Order: sequence, then structure tokens, then C-alpha cells
Amino acid sequence: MGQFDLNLSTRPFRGYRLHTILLSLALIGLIAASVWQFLGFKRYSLLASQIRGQARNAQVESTALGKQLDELDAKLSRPEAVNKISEIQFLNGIIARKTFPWTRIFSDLEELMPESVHLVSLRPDISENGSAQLHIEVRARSVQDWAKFGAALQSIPSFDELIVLSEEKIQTGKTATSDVNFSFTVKYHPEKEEQ
Amino acid sequence: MTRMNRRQRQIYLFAALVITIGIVNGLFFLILYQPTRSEYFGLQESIRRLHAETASRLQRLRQKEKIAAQLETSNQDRTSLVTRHFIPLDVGFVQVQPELDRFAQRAGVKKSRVDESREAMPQFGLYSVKIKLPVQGAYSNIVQFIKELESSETFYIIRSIDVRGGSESSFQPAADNISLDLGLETFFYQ
Repeated sequence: MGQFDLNLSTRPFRGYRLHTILLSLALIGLIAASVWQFLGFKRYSLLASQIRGQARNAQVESTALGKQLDELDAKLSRPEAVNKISEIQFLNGIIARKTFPWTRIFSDLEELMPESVHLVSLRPDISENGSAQLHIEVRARSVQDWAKFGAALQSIPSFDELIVLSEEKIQTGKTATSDVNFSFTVKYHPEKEEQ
Repeated sequence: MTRMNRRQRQIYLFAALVITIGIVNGLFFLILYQPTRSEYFGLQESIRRLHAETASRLQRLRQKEKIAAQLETSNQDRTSLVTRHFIPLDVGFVQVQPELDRFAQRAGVKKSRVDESREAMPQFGLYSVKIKLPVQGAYSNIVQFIKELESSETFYIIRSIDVRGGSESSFQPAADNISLDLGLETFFYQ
């Protein structure tokens, strides 16, 4: 039999291959996205149901603690309790001042103070936690001697934040000497010395 | 009117199917997937926040319970502290003077005139008494005197140390004659 190459349509067929491929790819992509979304949805649903109880318990615990705190706050904010707390703080302040380690400070100063520097006055402001701000006045033979002492003081971990308040040249009678008075504050942390 | 051929119709149907699946996918994402995912992460965040809140509340609760417990025994503690370490008002300076004399004698320092002043109004039942005490002696004796004050059963709080005489009276370990004014504080109770 012979081969016929005959087109009986009234107009030529359009090529739909590209459309079909693109639509097929889109379909495959959408199916993959659907599977991914469905699995994700199942996974997150399961995880959420697993931790929902945990969240509820945490909420209950936090609320219960909040209630206990409110009750204690109410108890502690009564005038007699407030007055008692102030008294305890006052007494704790006295104990902190009493336990201030004076002899240890002297032994530190003995080690650090050069012979050319002399202590003139020492006054601590002690906080409740035991740390203190020392107001110190010294007389030094020269500014260099003072600088040596200041550097030595700051090299010890228990002393920090040295701030010079005043520097005054000393005059004895009509003659000026090279002596200088230094007034400064330094923070003292006894607990750092214990470490 | 143009008639669609069979292939064209198939393509349109295919496209309609793809679009429908796409719309369903989008709706699924918006209605189910995204809210469930957000809920999970929201719950996780809320658990983390609640745990942090609980820990902080627990810490505050412990502190307040400690204060409440201190309040329960505060009267007893106060009485014990005050009677052991402070001086009764009716005894007052009569106890202070001999005690300071004893410390000075034991430490080997010279103690001259003592200035004392008592606050007129008590604070929490305690009268603050400020003492200005000039002492004189060798460095080691002065340090010994301060040790006596530190270890005394009665609270003598050192408020300040002022060395008198400047360089003539240097506060140095080698110094054998230092004059200084000690600022002290103690308390009388009623």
C-alpha cells in the first residue's frame, strides 16, 4: 500500500507540545508542593499537639507563682513589715561597717605605700554588700612618688576606680616645699582579696 | 464562531486543572499549613518565655520568703544583737570610757581627751554615739589598738582616721610616734 501525506483540516494544527510540557511541569511542581505542605502540616500539627500540654503547664506554674508573689508582696508591704525591713537594713548596715577589714587595709597600705608617701586621713563609705569607697588623703614628697603609690594601689584587684579629688602643694611658713597633698577616692572590694 | 479542535480543548482542560490545583494549594497554605506552623513556633516561644518568667518569679519568691522568714525571727535576732553588741542607755558612757582605756592600755597607746556626742533622737531604738578619740603611739601599737576595736564584743565602728602633724607624724610601719584622731561610732539602746 502506498503512503498518503494528506491534511484534511481547513487550517493547519498549532503546535501544543510546549504548552503541554510547561503545564505538566507546573502540575508536577504543584503536586510536589502539595505533598510537602501536607507532610509539613501533619508534622507541625503533631509537634504542636505534643507541646501544647507543656505550654499549658508552664502557664499554670507561672500564674501560680505570680499569685504567691502577690500574696507575699501584700504581706511584706504592710506598714509594720516595711518598718521591720527598714530596721533590718539599718542593722545590716551597722554589721557591714563593723566587719570592715581595717587591719587588712593597713597591711595592704604597708606593702604599697612608698616611704616618701604618708597617710593623712582615711574614711570609708561602706555599702551593705561589704564593698566600700575609701576617701584617702596622702602627703607625698613629689608627684612622681604619689603616681608610684597610685599605680601600686590599682595593681591590686581589690582596689579600683581611683579618682583624684584634689592636689595641693604644701607650703611651710614662707618656703615652698615639693611636698604635695593628694585627696582621692578608690573603691575597695574585700571579697576580691579573699579570692 | 471558531470551533476549538480536540487538542486545544485538552490543553485548556489541563490548564484549568493545574490552576485549580494551584488555588487549592494556596488555600491549603493559607488556611492550614501557615497557621499550624505559626502555632507551633508560637507555642515554643511562649514556653521559653514562660520558663524564663517562672525562673525569675521563683528567684523573687525565694528572696521574699527569706525576708518573710527573717521578719518572723527579727525581734529575737534584734534583741540578741542589741543586748550583745550595744550598750544600755542607762550605762552608756560609763561603759565606753573604761573599755577604751583598757584597749589603749593593752595596745600600749596613749589616749588623751575623748569627745563624745550622742544623737538626741534614736533610730529604731538605737542612739548613735560619735566618739573622737586622739591616740598616740608607735605604728604597731596603733594597729594593735585598731585590732582591739575590731575584735571588741561591743561594736565600735571606725568612721575615720586622721593623722595629726603631717609629715612630722607619718603613718608608716617604721614610725615610732604617730598621733592620730580616730572617729568612732557606737550605739546605746533603751
